[in-house]
Amino acid sequence: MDRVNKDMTAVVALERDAELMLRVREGDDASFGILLEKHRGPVVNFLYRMVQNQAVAEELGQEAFLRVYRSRASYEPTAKFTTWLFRIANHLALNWIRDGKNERGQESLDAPTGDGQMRQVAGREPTTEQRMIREARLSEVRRAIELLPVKQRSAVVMHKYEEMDYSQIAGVLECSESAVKSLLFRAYEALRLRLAHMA
Amino acid sequence: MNCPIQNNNSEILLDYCSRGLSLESTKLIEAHIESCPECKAVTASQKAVWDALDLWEAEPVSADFDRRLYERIERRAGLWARLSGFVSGIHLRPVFTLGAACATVILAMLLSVRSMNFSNQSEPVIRIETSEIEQAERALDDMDMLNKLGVVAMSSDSKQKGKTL
Repeated sequence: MDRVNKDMTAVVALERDAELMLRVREGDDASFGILLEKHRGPVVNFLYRMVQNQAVAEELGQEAFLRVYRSRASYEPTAKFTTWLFRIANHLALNWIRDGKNERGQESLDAPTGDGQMRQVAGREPTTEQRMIREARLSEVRRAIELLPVKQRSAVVMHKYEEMDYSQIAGVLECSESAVKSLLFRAYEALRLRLAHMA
Repeated sequence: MNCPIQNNNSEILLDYCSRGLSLESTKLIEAHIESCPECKAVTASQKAVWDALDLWEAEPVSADFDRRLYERIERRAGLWARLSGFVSGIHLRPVFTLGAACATVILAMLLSVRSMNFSNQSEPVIRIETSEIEQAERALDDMDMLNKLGVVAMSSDSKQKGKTL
């Protein structure tokens, strides 16, 4: 089982992360580089799915890593490193959403990427029709996730896309595992209703 | 196996759809789903949602992400260095030492003036006493005046009596 195996390796990896962070605390900046290399993608991807704008996601991602670096002196491995990191990222995303900075709406799929190129939607040279259908479906998925209450959105993004288990999500959201299960059940129920026609 | 929906344990269906169950549990749930139309419907729609969510792929992170982050870290570190340099420089410059001494003297003067004001605030008790004395003096004056008036009145009465006699 993919997910079960990932959970087993995650236990070892988490201890390694805490060890690296302790080295950062001692002034080893190279260890910070290793942590950045490892978690940059997951953190920015999580933020992107929360705020639905790549530029904002990267800005918030930088702020998250900056906060990790700034608090290195007071770091204590009481919580798992990823839980701590995603808690920071989640707070940044929730603050950004709460402050109404997402009024500009979703980033258009036709908008160019940071390097000036047009966005490539996965698939091997699809026809124009296939591409349009795919983009319409993707837009519906993004809208369905955006319509979820923010806590449910965080839980779904961490569960589905970051493949976190219930205890990790509970740690990030600072609630119980049973509350996470309930959140996810309600969130997926809402998504089943909104995306039923896509089955 | 008991029905997860009837036993209020629908999360296990989510775990099954997200391939989060062990091999043994997966076999058990699959056997149950075959015989339970309700669970079959839920897992089918959940799998459809799962597949739909897969459409949303992550964007690649910008190549200059690390460079921008390290620049921000450097900027902050530079700011702190300048601030700490300025603070440590204060101890080396005599003008700042003199300024600090003057500030201390001014502060001490301000505090002493303030303490004098505080001590003045305890005067109401004394003021009450003086006003009482003033009131007593005024009362004595009034009595003197009344006495004089009384004498005048008495003398005028005796003069009138003398005339009538």
